[in-house]
Amino acid sequence: MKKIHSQVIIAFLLSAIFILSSAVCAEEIRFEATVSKNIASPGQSIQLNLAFEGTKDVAAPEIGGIDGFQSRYVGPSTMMSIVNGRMSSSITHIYRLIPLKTGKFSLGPFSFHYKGDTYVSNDLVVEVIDSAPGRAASPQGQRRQHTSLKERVFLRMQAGKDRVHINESVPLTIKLYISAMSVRDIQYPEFSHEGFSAGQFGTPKQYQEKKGGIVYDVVEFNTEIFGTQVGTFSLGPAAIQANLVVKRERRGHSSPFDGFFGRDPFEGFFGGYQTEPIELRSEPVELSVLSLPEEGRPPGFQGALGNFDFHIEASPRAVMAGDPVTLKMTVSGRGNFTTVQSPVVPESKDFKVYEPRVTQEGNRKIFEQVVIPLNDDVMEVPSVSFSFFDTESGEYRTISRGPVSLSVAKPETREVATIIESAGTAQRTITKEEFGRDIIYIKGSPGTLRKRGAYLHNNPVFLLLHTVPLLLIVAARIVQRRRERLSADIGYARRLSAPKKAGKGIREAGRLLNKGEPVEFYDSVFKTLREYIGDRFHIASGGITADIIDNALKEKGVDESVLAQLQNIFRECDMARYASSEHGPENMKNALNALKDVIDHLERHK
Amino acid sequence: MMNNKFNRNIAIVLSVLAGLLCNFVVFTQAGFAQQGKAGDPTYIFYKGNALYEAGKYDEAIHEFTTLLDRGLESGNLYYNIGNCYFKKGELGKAILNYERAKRLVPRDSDLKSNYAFAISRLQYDISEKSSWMKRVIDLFHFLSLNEMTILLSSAFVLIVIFFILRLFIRGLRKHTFAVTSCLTVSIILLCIPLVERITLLDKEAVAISENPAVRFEPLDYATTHFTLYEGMKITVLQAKKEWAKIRRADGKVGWIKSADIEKI
Repeated sequence: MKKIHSQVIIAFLLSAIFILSSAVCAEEIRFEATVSKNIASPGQSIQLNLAFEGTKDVAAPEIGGIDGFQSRYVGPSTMMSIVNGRMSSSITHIYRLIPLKTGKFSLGPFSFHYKGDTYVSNDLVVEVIDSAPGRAASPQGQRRQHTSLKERVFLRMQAGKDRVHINESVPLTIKLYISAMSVRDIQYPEFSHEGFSAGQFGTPKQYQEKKGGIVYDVVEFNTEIFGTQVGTFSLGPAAIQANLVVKRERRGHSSPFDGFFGRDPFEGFFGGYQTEPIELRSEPVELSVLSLPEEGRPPGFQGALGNFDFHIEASPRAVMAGDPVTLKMTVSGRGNFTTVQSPVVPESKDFKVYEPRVTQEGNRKIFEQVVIPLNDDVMEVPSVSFSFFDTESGEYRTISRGPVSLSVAKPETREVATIIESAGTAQRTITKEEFGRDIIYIKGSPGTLRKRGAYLHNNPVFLLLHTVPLLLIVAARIVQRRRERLSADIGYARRLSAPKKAGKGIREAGRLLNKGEPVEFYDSVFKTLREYIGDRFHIASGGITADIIDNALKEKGVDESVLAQLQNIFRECDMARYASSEHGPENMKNALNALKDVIDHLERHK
Repeated sequence: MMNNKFNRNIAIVLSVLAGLLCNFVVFTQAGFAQQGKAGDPTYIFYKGNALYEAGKYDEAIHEFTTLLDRGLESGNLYYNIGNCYFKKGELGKAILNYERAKRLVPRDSDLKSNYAFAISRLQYDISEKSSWMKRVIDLFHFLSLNEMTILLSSAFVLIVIFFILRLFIRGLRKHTFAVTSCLTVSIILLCIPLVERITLLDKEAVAISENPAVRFEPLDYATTHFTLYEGMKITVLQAKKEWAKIRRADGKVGWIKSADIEKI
């Protein structure tokens, strides 16, 4: 199993390599020559790059002796990249040129032979002047020491034309000039473009340019703009944000080590530089946008502006009725491709025409339109016209192509049935369900209507009720303490129970008085008084005699009169027990009252 | 044995009494609210609903507002007013009323949906300053202020009941630390957001104008510091004549005309 897997992987890799290599082989080879700087001084080396895009198998071409220069081959540099699954490779052969004399020299065009073909590069111009650009040592450099910052770093904006038609594409160039300065972290320019639509800036170009006797390092930004409204508009001013590299200590105006855009190799070591943010602004550019002329406007004109060519081709050319034919319509040239709409293929009873698929590749816009001949009588695809406004000549032009002949056969029944079936299937295609969004309907009932702003936290009744649990806890604590004391302190318990027990005894004595039983009555009075005194003053009831009571009660501070009353009751009880007949109901009542008085007095005077 | 049983009975009676007393308040509050002008306000509410159904949003708002003028309010009432303003295209006032409804019926799913939909229509993206306090407050966002108050009150009653029971049931004394700690933490956790929400009660507001300018000073010619967006929730820090000092969710502070905002 593993073996089969590895075989599959190897086969996949091999086929991938084959496909990639074939793609590389099929790629067109482009040959370009560039120099690191086009202005130099004698003795200052220049790098010449001969770049071959589309291959990396090219040997270093023999450039021979170039007039005014001494040349030396440095070596190759190869690059391979895969973008969107498309592989590209390139090789750059690098040469070092040392200018030997001053003057303007033409380099190239260079040529080389590869697989029987001859490739020719562009030509280059290099100017060799007495002083190297950006050197403060030269007289020019000395003069620059006294020039202002505005003359050393500035921005220029230029439009390709100052009068354009609406939607006409115009190149816009923004150049940043730098002389004897180090500028880094250069941002893409920004500019107001009311009345215009502007594209993205491409990769900026870097080169040198001589202006007013001063050699500037130039960073050039290019884009395309087109007017969207008729009238005169002001473009810009363009603004660029960058960082200016300045010396911390003013030792001179420029260091001999200043490189292009401040890449000074010693800067990091000595730390003598710092960056200052700077915003550079250009002058605005006035542009007039004209409307397109009404005169000579072709009926099929859809707004395309530029200078275009138009081609159509159909494939397959031999089909059966109901089969699709792809009509490829290509518009190529220069101009505003956003204005280029698909040329109209007239729909008729013989053809069914579908929406075209649009692709744009550089300066070409391709419309692939599917047309279906509906019967076998169709002999050709009718001619298609493309109209545009030629911005160079200022006139409308129409290009017609076709008709393209077709060979349409009668369809087979089975296949027609297939078409119908597939059409039905297409109709049943389930699309992703999209839900609408809105608010949910109102409430049917008012809910709990209450007083506005009536919150519990500021309701006094609610707040007051929180004291209830606190009071309960206090009450519980009191109850619990009382119970604890009752179980631990016998004297306290006896004292608490004394009046209750005495009340019971008095009621019993009263009952016996009513029954007329003197012996039991006096027994009850004696017992009640003895128990009360015992409980009240925590004395053992059994050992209570008149003397003990006298002594104990005197200590407790009881009145003499009460003591005397007590003694009387005890004496009367003793006497009654032995001679009960002498004690009538009147005496018994007095004895009961005396008992009540004594207990009452002792209870009140604790 | 008998004594223990008696103790327990006392404790239970006392606890039940305490609990009942506190909860009695809650029920009497609700009862009080439900009474009042029962027939009349309901009729006005239904009239407002009928006008809404007829697409007469201004008149519906007028009817609903009559109830508010009478000193009555409910979550559903604010919800319906919010819907009226939303249909009228006044997003700021719609959000204001949904916010008011949220204070009363925070768990209502319809309200949540409409509030989220209205918020999604706002044309701003301001990152909110997050703090631990805000996170604690957000923990209880599903509770209304009254519900939080009841919860806090219940925690207090529970702690009291526990201490009453503890007096009479000796077995509970060993759990004193655990129970007291739990209940105390609960009370603190509830207290912080409750206090914060009570503090914000009269301070939260919503921008009802489209793009009101917030200035550095309470003066017409003062420099504009930033701009509010309709429906944006803000905190009012101070009021001075026709000006109010406000703080935006991202912490920016400035002065705004009081007419451009409305308190929740």
